[in-house]
Amino acid sequence: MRNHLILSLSVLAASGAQALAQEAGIQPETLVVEERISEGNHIFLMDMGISGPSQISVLNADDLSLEGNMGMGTFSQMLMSPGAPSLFTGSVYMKRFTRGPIEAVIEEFDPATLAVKREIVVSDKMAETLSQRGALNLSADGKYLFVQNATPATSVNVVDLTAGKDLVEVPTPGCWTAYPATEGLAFTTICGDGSLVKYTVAADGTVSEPAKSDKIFDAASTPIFGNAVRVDGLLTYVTYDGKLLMVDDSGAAPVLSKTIGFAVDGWAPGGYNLMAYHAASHTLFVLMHSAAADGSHKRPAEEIWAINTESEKLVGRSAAHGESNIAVSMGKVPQLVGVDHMGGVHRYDVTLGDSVSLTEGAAREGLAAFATMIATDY
Amino acid sequence: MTRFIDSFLKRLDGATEANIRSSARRNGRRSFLARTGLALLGAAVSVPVLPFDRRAFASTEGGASDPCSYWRQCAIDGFLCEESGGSLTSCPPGSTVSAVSWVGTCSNPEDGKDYLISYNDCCGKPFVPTATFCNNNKGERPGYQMGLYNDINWCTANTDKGYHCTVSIVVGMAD
Repeated sequence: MRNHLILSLSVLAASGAQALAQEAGIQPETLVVEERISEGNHIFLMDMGISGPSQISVLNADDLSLEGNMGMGTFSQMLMSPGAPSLFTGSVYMKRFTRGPIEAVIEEFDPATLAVKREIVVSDKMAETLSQRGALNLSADGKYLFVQNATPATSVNVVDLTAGKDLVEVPTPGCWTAYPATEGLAFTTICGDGSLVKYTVAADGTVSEPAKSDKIFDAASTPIFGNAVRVDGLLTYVTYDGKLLMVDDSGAAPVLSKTIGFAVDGWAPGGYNLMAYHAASHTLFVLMHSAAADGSHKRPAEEIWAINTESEKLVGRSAAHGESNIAVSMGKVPQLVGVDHMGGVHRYDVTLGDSVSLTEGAAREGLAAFATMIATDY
Repeated sequence: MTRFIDSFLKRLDGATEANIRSSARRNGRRSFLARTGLALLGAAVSVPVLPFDRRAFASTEGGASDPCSYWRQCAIDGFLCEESGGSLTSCPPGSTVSAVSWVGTCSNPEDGKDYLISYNDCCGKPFVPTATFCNNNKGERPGYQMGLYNDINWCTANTDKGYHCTVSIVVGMAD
């Protein structure tokens, strides 16, 4: 019966549709695929699959309407390349969805057409971890990817994008994340002894001796988040209790360049990808919550604070809507976007000046089940 | 502390199902249900399936009826196995116990003592959308202290790596 129905529909589609339409006095419709998303600004929202596929929803930045999505494997990472020519993901595909052999895959998407440009099968040691900025990064020249591995023993996989294969696995025991240096094929990782360690890799895959900083934090008493952002050339981390640790990673070994304390009155940073930096105005945005305590470091935000990294002053405190992850657009006047703990997206207009304030311009609830990361193409 | 965690993880690498079963006998879910109330299970299934409320620190917000506020869940991040076909200390049928785990240090209000809790994931099946998702983070640290990190799939060292749910096993007294 089913076969007969399919056959009938196929014949109808192939030869009869036009005749029927003409008899009915209408023009037959033509099935097409949308070539691309709209021109203009967009928000990319990662909905991470924890026992199934992950997906990235693509939203119109003006009204937060959905324009399409992209699909990838479980525990996916997401990286928008500078200028947004490509969006990279790194995820794990389980052959039986929740069991059996796995395959770790880097996928490069065209963020305009949402089509896969290419895929690279990489080491299956890829960390199955919450989407975070330190787990998938491009090298300074854009020709290599640094991929966080965890078995749970940690290492960093350097993927040669030109050759389309792994270059080398760099063992990084006791360390986590890989943030690229601004020059050369090198990355810096956070280690549990309170140091940062820089590794440099040659084009032939030879790995330097680890170049270790002094101890810059204490993992027990003043831990830092894994999330870091590049601020005016300095790799910038934030402590659980609200201090910025700004690190010069341009030399052989990372060096703590300056510390900016900004938390007051029991407030502290909280969330996952909890910082975003707008370079043109030297403004760093941080998700914040009150009544900080042991274990509160992932609380959704009550406020979003703005710190001017030139004056090193807190220049704004704006009401938040429970965000756990944020990103900020580039350009002279930025917009800040965030996703809350229930998968709702919020877009804020930013007023710059001696003080910085955020005004919610658009919001839409329930866009993701397990929102982990947000990015823009503008 | 780090050395202790490393040692603990090595011991956990050899964790056997027998250990888990033994632990389950000591800490069955009946006592847990007595604390939280059977009504919770009924309430859980009526909650909308998606999205999952990923608020951290729910233990101070949910009140006594919140299964996430049970004392030994102070650093859990995952779906409760006791609402997935298993119990507080046993994995659901047909799943496998994660070979590695993260640990938390939680205070038992009944005796005021601190206990080491091993949060093992159960593996090889999909998560159960009607199970309560808890996200507590006392003492939690990023992956540079892997034994304290709860934002990673702890089924990663198993043959079947799909994340199913999380149990909370008392493994000892804290220092």
